[in-house]
Amino acid sequence: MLYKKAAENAQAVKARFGGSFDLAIREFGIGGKPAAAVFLDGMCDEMKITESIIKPLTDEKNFSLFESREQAIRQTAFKGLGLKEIGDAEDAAHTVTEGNFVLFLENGKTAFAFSMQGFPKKAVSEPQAEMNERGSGESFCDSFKDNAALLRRRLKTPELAIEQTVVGKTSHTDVLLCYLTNRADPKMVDKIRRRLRKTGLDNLPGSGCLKPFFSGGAPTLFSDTGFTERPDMLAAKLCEGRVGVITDGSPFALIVPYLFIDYFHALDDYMSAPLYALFIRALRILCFLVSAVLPGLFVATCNFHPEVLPPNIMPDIAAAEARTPFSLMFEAVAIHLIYEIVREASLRMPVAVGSAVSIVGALVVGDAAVTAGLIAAPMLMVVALTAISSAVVSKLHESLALIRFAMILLGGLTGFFGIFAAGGLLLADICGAGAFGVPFSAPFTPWIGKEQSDALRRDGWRKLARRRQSIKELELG
Amino acid sequence: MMCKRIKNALLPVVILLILCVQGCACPQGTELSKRLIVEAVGVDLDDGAYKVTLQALDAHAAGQSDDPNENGSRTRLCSFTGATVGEALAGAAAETGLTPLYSQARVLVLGRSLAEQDVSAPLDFFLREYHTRSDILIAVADASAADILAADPGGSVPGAVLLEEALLTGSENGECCAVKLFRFTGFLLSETDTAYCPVVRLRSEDKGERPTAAPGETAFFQNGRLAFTAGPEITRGLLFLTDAVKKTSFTVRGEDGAYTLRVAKTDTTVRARKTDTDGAAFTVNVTAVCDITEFAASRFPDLGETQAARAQTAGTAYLQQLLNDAFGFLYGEHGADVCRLARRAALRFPKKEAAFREELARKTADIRLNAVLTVRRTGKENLS
Amino acid sequence: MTARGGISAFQFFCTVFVCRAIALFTFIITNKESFPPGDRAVLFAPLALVGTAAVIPVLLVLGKREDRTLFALTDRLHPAVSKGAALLYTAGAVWSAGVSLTRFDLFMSTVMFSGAKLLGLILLLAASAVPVALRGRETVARMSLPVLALLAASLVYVGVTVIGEFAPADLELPLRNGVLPLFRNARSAVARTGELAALLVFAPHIRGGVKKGVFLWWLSFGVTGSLLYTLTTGVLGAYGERQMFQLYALTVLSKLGAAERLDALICAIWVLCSLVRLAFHLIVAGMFLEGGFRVHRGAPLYCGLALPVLSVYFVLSRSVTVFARVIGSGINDLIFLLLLIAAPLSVLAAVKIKTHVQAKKGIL
Repeated sequence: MLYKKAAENAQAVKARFGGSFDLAIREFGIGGKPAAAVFLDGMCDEMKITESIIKPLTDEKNFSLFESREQAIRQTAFKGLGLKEIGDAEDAAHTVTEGNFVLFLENGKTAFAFSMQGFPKKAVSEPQAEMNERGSGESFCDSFKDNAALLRRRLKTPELAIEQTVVGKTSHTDVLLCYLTNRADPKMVDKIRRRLRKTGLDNLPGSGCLKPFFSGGAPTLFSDTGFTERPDMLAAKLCEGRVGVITDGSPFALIVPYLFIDYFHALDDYMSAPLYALFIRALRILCFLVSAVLPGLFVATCNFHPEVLPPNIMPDIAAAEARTPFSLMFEAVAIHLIYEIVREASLRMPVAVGSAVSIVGALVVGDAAVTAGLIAAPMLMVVALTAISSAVVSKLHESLALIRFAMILLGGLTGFFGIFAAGGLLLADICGAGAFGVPFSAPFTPWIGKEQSDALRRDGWRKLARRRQSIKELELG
Repeated sequence: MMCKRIKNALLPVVILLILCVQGCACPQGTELSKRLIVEAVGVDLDDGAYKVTLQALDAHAAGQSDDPNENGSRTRLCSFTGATVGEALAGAAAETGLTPLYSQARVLVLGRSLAEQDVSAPLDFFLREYHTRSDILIAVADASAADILAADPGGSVPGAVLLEEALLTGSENGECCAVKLFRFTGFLLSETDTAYCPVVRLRSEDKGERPTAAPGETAFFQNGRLAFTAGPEITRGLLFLTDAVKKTSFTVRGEDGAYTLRVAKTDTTVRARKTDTDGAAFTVNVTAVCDITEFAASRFPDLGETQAARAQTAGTAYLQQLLNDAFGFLYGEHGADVCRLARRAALRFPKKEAAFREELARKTADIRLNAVLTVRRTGKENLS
Repeated sequence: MTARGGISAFQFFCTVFVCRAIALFTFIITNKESFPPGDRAVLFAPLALVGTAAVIPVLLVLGKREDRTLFALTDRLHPAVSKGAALLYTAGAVWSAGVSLTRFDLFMSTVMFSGAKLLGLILLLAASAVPVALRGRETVARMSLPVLALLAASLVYVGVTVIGEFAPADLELPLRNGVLPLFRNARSAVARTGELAALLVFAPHIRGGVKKGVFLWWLSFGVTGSLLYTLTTGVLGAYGERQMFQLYALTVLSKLGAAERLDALICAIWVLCSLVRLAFHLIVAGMFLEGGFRVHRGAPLYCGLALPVLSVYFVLSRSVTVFARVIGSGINDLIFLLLLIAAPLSVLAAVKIKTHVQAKKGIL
């Protein structure tokens, strides 16, 4: 319900904002009758407001052919300003928070909201977390509308459906659900839609908060919901029948569902020759294994199964370990902790002190520890290899960090036995996970031959073009 | 609600329990630096007691030393005595303060006196011990195993490594045999096969430097003890008979000069057959393909087809003689079935196994040795 | 082609293969005279025949569409029969799991951690099997394929690296003692394969040809075993005959360049197989209990099943003599006879009789 007086409506909205300094009220006359407008200073483009709304509204020539101002607004160029009609002050307050300019007319039955967004936002930039050699240089930004536009540019088809919903009782964050109507499973889309509605979140700071809501049941170390900051990657996944979730304020879009093998895919694989793509994907899987188990295997080998060590290097390792005061397991845990600390510091630190931290990290770990005889050189080699391998599969860093420590402890306490028992649990984790009826370990197990064309190996484009990949093939009934 | 609380409380308790049990009921690992990394093992019989000598890596000393070429700093020699090998080695941990690790041991040397008594008793320890590699090389010392192991030439490479390389390279070049522990044990356990292994002796350098251990003869075992040894030529023949030659060279004298033939590949086949009177008959065919690497004659003559044929004839004759001498010595004089004729007969004629074995024991079986040598390459010189 | 649920027959038989593989690797040939090396090389043929024949009663229970469980028949007789059957098969699965743990303990304590306490490791294995079982049969079935692939790769590696030591002269001719001992050994090997009783509850969840799969499974398992034993005999000869765990002795020899003594790593792969086997047995036991007593298969049930498994292990692992005596007493034959032949046939006969009687009385 609106008040008869335009100014009263404006005051009602101001009261709703609890006296916020940035809520601006403009009162002016239109055709001799009072009108009032509210908007958030800083969220709207004031120049655009003045040129597109206030000046035309106050010009009598624009209303001469119409019976009323409302009719004039509805039927003229004002329509192209994202015009929405609002019935009460509460809705008006919410509309204002989206960067809209809300106009109240004297004795008006509805208020009019014009899309006048002019808030500061980050421009489209290069991807920071997903580097590619030959892919596009654009990444998602913080504005969901811009992100939608980036996606639309890559999928110029009316089949691309982008549904808008709001998540967060307080934050009212805009979330977009993207899918291709002719590829995605409607039941899966419906399930995702319902889950989005039922999150019950108060505030949605980023897309990562939505991941648990799309998971399939039992807690797992590996997420069956992926993320990407690349529009080209999201477009490719949508073509496979998956669903994308874009969150306002987050440059990372979610991909549902996500397979384990997807963690080892990169867009560059599709630009290279198939044989090279196979090689590089196998290399990434090897890096994952190295990063996860190499430190644990090294500790287990030295402590429990030294016969595995080649006779030529065993004396050197033994001699190096003889110089250090700590046990191998302690060394491994300590050095990996230091690595995690340095990594965390490099993520969080201000740019200005970046070089100082790098130097200290290199000195402490690289030189001083070995020279002082605290850490043996072979262990340092292992850590270096682990760290570099971890960087290859950076999306799995969180899982790998936990797995690595567990493997070191198990390797130090129980040898290969414990490591492989834990490996079995991990395998069970991977094989048991899955969202929306799609097994996380597909298409390897269960083995689905048709989908092998773009799993570990990648068929040539001539073959791929004839048969498109589809997530529907992997769904269990 | 109560059930859920109990469940929530139980889980950490169960995990803690499992970790505690693991802590005290799991095998304990041993740091590498606390292990005595054994490179070679020598076993002698000394006044009825076993004397076990270990050539081991001293990880602590190696860790202290910055110079990898410092003599003797990386290996140490220790000896232990006991009524059995196990008893002798039980003292190793107490004396050295380190846990012996046998997985890196390259060579197992048995003293001569021990080999002449019984080898199965000392071998049993190393066969049962988990860490020992079953493909460790086994050898018999010319005199004492301890002396062989003590012959460490110094430097960064332990003597055991050099000895192992000497055995392996010698075997490839047809100078000596290299026998792995599991193969040796299998032959010892077999009723019909003959076990053998190289004999290692000390060789002093001309300049009076530290002696090195090197293989020479071959020792043969019957009934679990050293029965006889064979010299280098018989050893070479043995290697041809057992198809163990990879590459070797020998010189034969022809009409025009001396030909040095290098073996490129060999193949030995043994066929068991029956005679007309249903008796045991065997044919051992040894074929060798050789290259002529040297033709020692005056005035650099061309190596034509005629010379190649003569080299072939001389080579075949040499090989035939080698086989006859080796087989005559090993089987004829000592009854050593190195060609495993009895086993081949059992495979081919299972029903006549006992009869054939009897004939072999009595040496009445018809055994033919055929040597065929062909020349493949004659070198860079043109054929005339 | 769209989605499908459950597990495929291929996945099921892969799981059973993995379960049997670990049993094969930890198998001790106690009476070498009656099971000579020559016979081991050709055991696959009679094994496939005898094995398939022995499982016929189970296949009859599955029905024409291969989707009927044992409880579909026992429920028609009496609820008490269902409960009794559930207890019987659960006991069989628990026994098999306990024996498996004991055999694994014996193997590990003999070859790897000689003289050490292994209680902690066994508890770790059992504790790992429970969460795997909790994940469900689909998870265990999916796990079996990568585990099998890893196992196959390790065996190929062993084969390729030791083939240079293969001496045909060390082989022996088969059938030295005649055909009967060969079939006796095949029967004994079949009697140790109680895993196929799982078909009695798994059937509705398996897609594809179970009946064809059974014969193929026996054949492939037999061929694998025969190949491995032939390789062992040809490489190790008389030395191998003296070893308690012959297949393990083969892995000790495998060497490629600087990579030596990878037997520890290969044994660690066998740990994975043990994990799958243990989890599979827990799931089977749980499914039988669910069928007979309508209990929910959750954490309490699997933890509860792990306790009797560990009890069996504690009793059998007290000494090697106790274990050998128990196993050598023919208990496996009895269990196989009961669970895979007598019980299914009895149930089938009872249902047939009841149907006939009811038809006569005009009830149906």
